[in-house]
Amino acid sequence: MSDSSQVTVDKEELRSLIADALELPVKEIDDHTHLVEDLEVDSLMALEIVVNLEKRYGVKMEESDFKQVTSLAQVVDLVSAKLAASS
Amino acid sequence: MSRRVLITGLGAVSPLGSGVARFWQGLLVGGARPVPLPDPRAHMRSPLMYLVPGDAVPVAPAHHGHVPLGPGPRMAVAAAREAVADAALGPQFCSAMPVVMGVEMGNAAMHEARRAAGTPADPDGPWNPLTVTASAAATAVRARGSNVSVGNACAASGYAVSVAADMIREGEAEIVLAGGAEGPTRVGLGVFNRLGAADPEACRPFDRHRKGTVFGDGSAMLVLESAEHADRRGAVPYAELAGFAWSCDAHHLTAPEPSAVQAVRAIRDALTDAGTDADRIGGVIPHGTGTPLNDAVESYALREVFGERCDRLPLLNLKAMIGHTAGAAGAFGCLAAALLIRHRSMPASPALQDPDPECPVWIPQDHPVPLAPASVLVNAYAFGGTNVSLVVTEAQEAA
Amino acid sequence: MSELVVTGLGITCPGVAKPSDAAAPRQEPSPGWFDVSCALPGRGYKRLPAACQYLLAAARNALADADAPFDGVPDERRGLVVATNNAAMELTEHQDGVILASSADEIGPLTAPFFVLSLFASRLATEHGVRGFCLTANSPRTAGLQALRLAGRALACGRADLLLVGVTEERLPESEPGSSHSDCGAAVLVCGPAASTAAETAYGDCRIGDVFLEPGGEPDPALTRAWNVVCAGAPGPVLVDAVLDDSAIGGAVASWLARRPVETRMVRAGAGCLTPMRHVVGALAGGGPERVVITAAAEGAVTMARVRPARHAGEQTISHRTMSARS
Repeated sequence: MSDSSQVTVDKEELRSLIADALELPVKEIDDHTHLVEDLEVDSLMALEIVVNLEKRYGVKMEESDFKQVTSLAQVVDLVSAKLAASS
Repeated sequence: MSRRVLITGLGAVSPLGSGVARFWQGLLVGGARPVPLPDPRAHMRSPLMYLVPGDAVPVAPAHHGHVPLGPGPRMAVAAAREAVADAALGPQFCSAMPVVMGVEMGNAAMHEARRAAGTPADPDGPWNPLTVTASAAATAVRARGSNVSVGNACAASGYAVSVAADMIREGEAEIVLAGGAEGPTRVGLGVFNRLGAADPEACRPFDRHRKGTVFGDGSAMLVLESAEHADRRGAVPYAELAGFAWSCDAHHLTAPEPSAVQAVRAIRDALTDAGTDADRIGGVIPHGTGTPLNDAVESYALREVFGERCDRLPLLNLKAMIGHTAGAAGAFGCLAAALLIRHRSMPASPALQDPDPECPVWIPQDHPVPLAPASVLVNAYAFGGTNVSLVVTEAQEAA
Repeated sequence: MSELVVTGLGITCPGVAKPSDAAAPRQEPSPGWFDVSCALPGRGYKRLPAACQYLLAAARNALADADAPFDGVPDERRGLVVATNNAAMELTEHQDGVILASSADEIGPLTAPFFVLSLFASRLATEHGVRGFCLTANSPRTAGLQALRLAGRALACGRADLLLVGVTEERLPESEPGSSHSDCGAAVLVCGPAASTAAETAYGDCRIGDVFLEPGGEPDPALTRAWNVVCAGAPGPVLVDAVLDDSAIGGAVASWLARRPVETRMVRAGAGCLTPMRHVVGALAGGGPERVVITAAAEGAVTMARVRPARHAGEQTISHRTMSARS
């Protein structure tokens, strides 16, 4: 499902993207699970997630955005904001 | 009881020019500046490097056996010849001499040129190894002892110098040629860009606004020699490699371990190995790369070891002057340390625009400062967490 | 001359089920020959470059074989030497291709750092908490045997009490010359100093020597000198595994061997430094008479390893060794 002004992010798809990057089952990625503290995401994994986000959603991430990759909920907000800003 | 290891010859090809004299003069006038890599296909945001000036890059030898040589190994040959001549080593001394090189990217430029040209390869043809540098250097100086190439990334030639010194201490050899060499590399620059570790302006370690490192190319070579042998043949040493130590963070692929416990251990063990202590070090050549993490963690480690003395202990910001020479960085650090000892002076480093308060170190920037005591700590920390610290001192009088 | 005593062996190579098979003729890696989920279950392995996976798997096997020898050794007294030539060639080929075709921004982050050859060893050090030291050797073809010498010297200089010595290789990409016979896989040995190693746990010991031959020079005296040093104080092994290519240097070593009172098994050398180490592993695991493994690079370096297996009644499985060590 898409239209030319899609500004919403499919949370489940994003959950799946993050789970895949972290080699974890989808069920371990709760909306508010802290990626760094709870799931041991390091800088390289965070970068991998960001790169996958850029590719999937066609958005550009800045270094300042990286700090916001803290939980699934935060990432949904971040990507949604980027999509809205560019639409 | 450990045999003493002296540094009796030096050779260099660097972004400051060809030869050790130009290297020293270049330090005195504040070092080199980075330039864009002259490679139109280096598609990346910051393709900057500190480059050996064109006329200082040797064109020969073009091959080692069947392997075409890129600039890295060619610079190694030039620096090796200079070091051996500088040490006044005739063929009778070289014939059994081991050669230990620190090499990470090695002959990568040759492979990158082949890829850019799209030349097809013969699957049954002779293999072109990446790490031919040690072989090329040994052939150039007719050294026929052990020929060893070690990796360890940004600390490679620090480890090469250590291994060479261990060979002498263990009685395996009287003289060893040790050093490192790197040429420009598109992949190295590209990956550091990808990882956000490449500074778009310059290599500015310990500056608050540093954004990463900037690579440099070149080769540094040292002749290490046992004190007895040097004494017998009347060689005048630059300095003594008094001690060194290794450690390993085993923490993360790219980030230094934040508590610096292993980096501190390497420094302390090196001081102990040198039979000295923190109060008797006159200067430091830090690893200092310009990445936000390294410089902060290294500053912390230095303060752990030297305490308040840090305020009065001068650092030479070497990578701000020649860039990060990767596999050759450790050898450049030791070479610079030997020159500091010879001159009893530490050159001023380029001015920091805005010194980082998280890095409470003293970097003389206005004018050279006396090196007293005449002893230098050299650090090299690799991407991947392998650490080496070396202590270079004035050569003691034979007992 | 530094000596090493070997107490554990692990191997991850196509067609090799156990260390005593290590010296079998090289087999072409068939697709899926290595199953990372099986060899390295859990998180954090699937995305690693293949040669890193081989190395981690072989190290697990070696440590299990030696019955968890690091358990009694403080992390700052553990050491590691890893040899490789081509572990990162496939990856850097890909990365360079990405830069040439589009930009460095498109390089995959997780594998990006592995363009640095030494990171394979660093990843292994992190896996097993090795904090004494970690060293990568990368001399063409001879690095594997040289790693044993570097390790022995490090032990003699007190840099560690126990260490892993490993070799790992990935096949060269087809765009590199010499891809068709290049090494693939990994071997790891657990090594300690003779003085503190219990005899019943040892596979045997190794003594290494090396020399550099100039092109067009007189090889025989240098080779003979190195041989005499490595084989000093013994009647002299008469079995030789010679891992050589058809370069001038390889030919010179072969000719020299042909004139010596030895029985030589000639093994074709391809790109990489794994094959000579496979022969060391095979000799140690198989027991039997001592032998010398000799290899040479076309670029001039020649390295010899005198391997003296301890008296084992043929090949022993992990469970056998554990049981016999405890009885």
